[in-house]
Amino acid sequence: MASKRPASGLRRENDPPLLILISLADGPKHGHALAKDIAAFAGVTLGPGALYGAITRLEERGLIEPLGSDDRRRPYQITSPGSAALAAALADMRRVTRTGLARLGLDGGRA
Amino acid sequence: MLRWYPRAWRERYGKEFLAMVEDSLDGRRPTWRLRVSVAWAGLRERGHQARLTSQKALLRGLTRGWLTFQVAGYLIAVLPSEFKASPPPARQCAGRVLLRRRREPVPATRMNLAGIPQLSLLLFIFAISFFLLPFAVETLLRRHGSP
Repeated sequence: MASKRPASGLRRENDPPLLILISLADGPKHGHALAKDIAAFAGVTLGPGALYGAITRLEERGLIEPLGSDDRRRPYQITSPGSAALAAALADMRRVTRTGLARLGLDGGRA
Repeated sequence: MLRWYPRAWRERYGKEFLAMVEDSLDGRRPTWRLRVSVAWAGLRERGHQARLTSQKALLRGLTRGWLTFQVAGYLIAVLPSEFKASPPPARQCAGRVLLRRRREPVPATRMNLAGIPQLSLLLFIFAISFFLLPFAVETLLRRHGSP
């Protein structure tokens, strides 16, 4: 079913929460650094509203957490449940990608 | 820009949100497109908060209803069986049932527990008789001039 959401709560490749988790996987970042990193590796420009909406949901679900900071720019880091959810979502995407490539004959015939 | 967001959200994320907006604008004025997207995101956040609040209220209501149901069920279960339904006319009336129960033997443990107040009362009367009453009689006689 196309609209089914995985158990991790993450959808497909352009989902802001997924992009934020991927960005935080290599270290803590604050809002503007997250937006720049996501634009660099995914080519997706997230506005402040979309970015902070996703940050709010991820923090509610315990997938990321804020770090203490005296600056107005508060950095966030991924949590253990966040890493597990990201790994599950990426494995799911890899399975779909492999299937698609195999059916196109671009992956050595593996499905 | 933040007035579209709920107050709790503004208190939690407001400063860092504005810092990010300033960083992304880099000294330029905010465009109408940015304002509209922020307003839209704020309204969505309000909708999310309202959904959360209504879900909590629904959960609270269901919990209270379930507890009330449980207490009512318990009370009905412990009420005497005569209160559950009126007996049919051919059966004995409640008064006869109660009289018959009085004739039934009472367990020893219940008798012992029931006798404790009476025993206490008897001890109290003995104490009054042996200690307080002679003292009171002597005081009265002295007040009236008798030896």
